[in-house]
Amino acid sequence: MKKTIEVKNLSVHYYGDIALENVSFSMNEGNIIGVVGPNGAGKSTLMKALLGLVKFDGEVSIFGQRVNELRKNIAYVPQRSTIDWDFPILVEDAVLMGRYMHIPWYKKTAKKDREKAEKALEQVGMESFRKKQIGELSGGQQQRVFIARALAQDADLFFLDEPFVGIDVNSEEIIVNLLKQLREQGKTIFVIHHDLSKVETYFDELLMLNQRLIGAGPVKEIFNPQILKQAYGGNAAVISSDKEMVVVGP
Amino acid sequence: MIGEIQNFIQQLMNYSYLQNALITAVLVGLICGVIGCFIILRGMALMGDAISHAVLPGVVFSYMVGASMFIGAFITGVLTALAIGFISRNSRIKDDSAIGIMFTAMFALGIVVMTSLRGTSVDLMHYLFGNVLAVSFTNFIITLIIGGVVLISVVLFYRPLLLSTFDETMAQAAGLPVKRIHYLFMLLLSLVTVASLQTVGIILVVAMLITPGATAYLLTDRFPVMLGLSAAFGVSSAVIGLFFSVVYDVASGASIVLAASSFFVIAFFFAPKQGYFMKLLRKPAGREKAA
Repeated sequence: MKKTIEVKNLSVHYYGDIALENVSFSMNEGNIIGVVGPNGAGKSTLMKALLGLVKFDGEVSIFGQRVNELRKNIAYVPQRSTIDWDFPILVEDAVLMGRYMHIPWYKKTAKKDREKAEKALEQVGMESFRKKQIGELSGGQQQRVFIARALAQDADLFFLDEPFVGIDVNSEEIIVNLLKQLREQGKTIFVIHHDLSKVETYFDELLMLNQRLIGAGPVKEIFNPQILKQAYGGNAAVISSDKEMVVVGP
Repeated sequence: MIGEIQNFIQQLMNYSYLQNALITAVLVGLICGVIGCFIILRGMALMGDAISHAVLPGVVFSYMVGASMFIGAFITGVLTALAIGFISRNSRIKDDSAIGIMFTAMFALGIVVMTSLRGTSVDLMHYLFGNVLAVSFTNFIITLIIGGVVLISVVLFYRPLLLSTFDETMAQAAGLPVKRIHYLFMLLLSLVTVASLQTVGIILVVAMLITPGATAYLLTDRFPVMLGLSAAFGVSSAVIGLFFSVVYDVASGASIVLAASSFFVIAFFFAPKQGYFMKLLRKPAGREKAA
């Protein structure tokens, strides 16, 4: 299998404070990768460093290249709380933005682009909302619209920042199924995740962070009491037997 | 009223200075309306106010050395924008405080230098409060050129401007030069401010930048429509304001601004979806938003 992401000795400092220190890992193509860890563990910082949005020391290569050479190929879904939901934009126009990086600046949006946006909306089951202003939707619907924007981009690598926060069960199911479909198509999906309860069913690979890398690899290997305790300290209670493990965490 | 309108049209046909004034005011209304939409959505209203006040020393210095006021105004506008960025990046002072410090300092500098010059303050007053009827032919031509540059830039960079306004992180992740787009926008803002100086005056420019856009914002859920409506409100305010200014002999800048404010008040109360009264009427019906 090809390597999607290779990270060597990645460190990020914000004004002298350490956000991430000496993180190294590599991930294969065609996986759903969960990034978990307590608050302030550097999950968002890691994603920003991978996307080349913050200064870092160390090496990051994506598909064997530097991130600047394949930006069109990387779709990013922001945390819902960072968006101005009063912005005067309809669902269909927000999804069309996923096509912007493919349209040369001197050209108008083509029919092909609008069709791609339309198809992406259907994939997330939001086609009947296309004329709604984005703020009129529920949290889960908003998240699905932003996933549709990422789909419209035809990317091979997806970065999702806390996509399951504050959304309904139905939307969560639609999104999880979509991510699994994308994986079947050989796409790689990076998900920052907060809640430990569904880690085992959602992800193939796990990155456990707490400023340093606590563990990286298949979920089965990483998601165990020792590593969780290392990452969360006393803040997560793990009750486990041979067959089952219950995690009570933040 | 009809008599006054006829009178206004009569004068308009007879006096070329009035035609120039009308075209200038309409163009200023148009470009302020367009740039204003981006200002509102980028949360930069205070920045608009800052740039407009900060051009005063540039205007005064240009006046002293006999250069075109556009050049001086433009230079001090851009310098102020850069200084604001410099302060907020290199200290713990936040953006809005940095803006407050810089623009009042620049404005005060302008006032001090202006009051030190004897016997010239009438002309400079035109820049403070605006007098579109006193626009010289050269300035008229320069305003036309600035208007053209601003409109063409917005058309060319429409998508990058829109995406970086709506979702800056995604724009950055997609490889858009977000910082350069920001500077381009600040440059356009400075140009618009400079072009508006003589029409509405330094003190009131911010009204033309914000009010038409805010009015449009209350009336639509689509950005392109907002741009169109905002430009239309800017232009109508310019025409209505100029009419009152000529017919009743009142200050042109202030009457243009009042016309824009009137549109806003109407939209605030009566807008079909966002209006105050419609929201009152809808309230008992329930919370359809929380689906």
